[in-house]
Amino acid sequence: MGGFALGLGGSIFLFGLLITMLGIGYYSYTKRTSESLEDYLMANRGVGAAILVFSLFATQYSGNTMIGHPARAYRIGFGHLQFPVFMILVVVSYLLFMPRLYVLAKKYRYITVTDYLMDRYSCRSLNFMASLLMLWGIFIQFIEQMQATGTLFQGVGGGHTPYWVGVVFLGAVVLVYVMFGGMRGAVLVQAMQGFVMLLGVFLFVGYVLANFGSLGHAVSVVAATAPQKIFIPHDPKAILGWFSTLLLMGLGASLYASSIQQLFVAANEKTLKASLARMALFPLMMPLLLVFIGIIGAAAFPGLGTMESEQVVPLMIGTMMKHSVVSYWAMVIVFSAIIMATLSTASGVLISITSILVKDFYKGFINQQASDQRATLVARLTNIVAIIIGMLLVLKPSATLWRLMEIKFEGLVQVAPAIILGLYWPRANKISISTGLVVGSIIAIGLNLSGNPTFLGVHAGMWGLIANVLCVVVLSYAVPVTEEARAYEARFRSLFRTNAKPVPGTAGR
Amino acid sequence: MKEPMTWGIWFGFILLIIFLVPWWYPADLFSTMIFGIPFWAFAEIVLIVCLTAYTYYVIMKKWDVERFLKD
Repeated sequence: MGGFALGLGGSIFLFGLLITMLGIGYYSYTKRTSESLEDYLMANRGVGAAILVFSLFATQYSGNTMIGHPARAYRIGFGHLQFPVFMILVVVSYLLFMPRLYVLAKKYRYITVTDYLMDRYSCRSLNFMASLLMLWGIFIQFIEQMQATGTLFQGVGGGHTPYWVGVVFLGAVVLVYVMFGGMRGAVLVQAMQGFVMLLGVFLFVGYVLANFGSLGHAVSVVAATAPQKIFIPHDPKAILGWFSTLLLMGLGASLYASSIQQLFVAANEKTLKASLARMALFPLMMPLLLVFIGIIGAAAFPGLGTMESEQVVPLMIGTMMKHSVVSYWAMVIVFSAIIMATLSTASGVLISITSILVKDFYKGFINQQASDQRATLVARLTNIVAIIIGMLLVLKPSATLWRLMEIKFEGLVQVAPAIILGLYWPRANKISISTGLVVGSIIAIGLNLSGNPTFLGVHAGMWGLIANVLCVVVLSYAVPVTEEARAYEARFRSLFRTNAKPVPGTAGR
Repeated sequence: MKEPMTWGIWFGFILLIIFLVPWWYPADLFSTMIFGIPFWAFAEIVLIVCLTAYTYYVIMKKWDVERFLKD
């Protein structure tokens, strides 16, 4: 990370935070009630609103949010106002399935979203494909965080720390608190990380405004030198692309298995709603402000190329750090916030990777009779395997991997019809849903790998999704209503009668 | 029981999303400045606040399922 060195005081502060995380991990380990998957992967579904909202905030916003998005706003200006919009659309997308999925998860003890798919369609091949797509989505997310830890940690030693040190050292910290603390440890640490992140963003915005001038000033400077960043052109293809980006990112990010699992651990619906409602407010506090920071950066450091512009946030931190002792410490908090953002996302994703591997692959295919205690032990050890694979891929990256990383959302959105239509439409069945999933994935991934990530401005993933839904609708009508649909009626649909009366004694929930 | 999956609620979301994509600004208003930022970006920010408020409202007021479910 170019631009600055953290210095001794800042390094001690950061190490203090890392040790606190390990302490919270150990505290969570002592608070476990049993050696079971329900306790280890779901924290006994007892997480309250105050913890959940900060932990959701910490996992949803990564180090990339704080560095990559201002850099993008630097390059495309106000066009990147897409960012706060699709972050709200993530919450809106949850409204498509969480109200039903949450109560089903609680009633039928689902841990991963694929537990629901198995319950709904009873189809192992469908479940395997969906698990693979969802695992892929979060594994890419994990790799991105591991990579960021290496780059960020280089700033701690003033650019002299080798890349691998950050990957291994910060990876080990995450591993320890997740392996011992499980979901309880992860959400408690994330809540602390979320608090530091929020503090960091507010400090950063305040200092940027004080040191680099207002947004209005930046707009007048950029409008004179690069007007296309301020007045975006009316172009039909760009407009279609804008729609496509909003829908792909909004829906795709809501389908991260890690985020859904984290919503399942809410103590009750009231907690879940309070947390999601606050999540809808965060885009105004973080993404919107980060877009403004990118534009202010474009005025303060004009002429940076694509790769150089990725360093605009470190450049700003480095410049402000030198001003005074107070601004040095403020920037130490900002830098720590970026590290926290990376680690929190990595830990949330790690526990979910472990959940899918243990629930869907180990208990699904390898050892179906495994006791809960044994599965929990396997889960703890799976964390180590997942993190070692992640480290190896990050330390020895291949060109193919980077190519595939670009398409995580394209595959993820193909699971949406299976989840959403499955909750509301009795005719959706395993044949139509599986065919849609395969056709959608082939189109989305095939178009991408053949060098056509967009067509008419619309992402390959969206074309895949359109084909996917068409397949599901046509085949659902073509296949006669079977026993499967009747079982669905009894097990799922009958629960959601609009004229139902509240169950006595639950009014305060 | 109240679920947010109704045509009325989603009509609101779709309408907001349609106007959150900047295709509808008249060309002469496109480069007009307001409060130091372009009119279109200002309108975009106002709509982002509207989307946030609407999402918050739907979550808190139009979603009430769990207490109607028997164990």
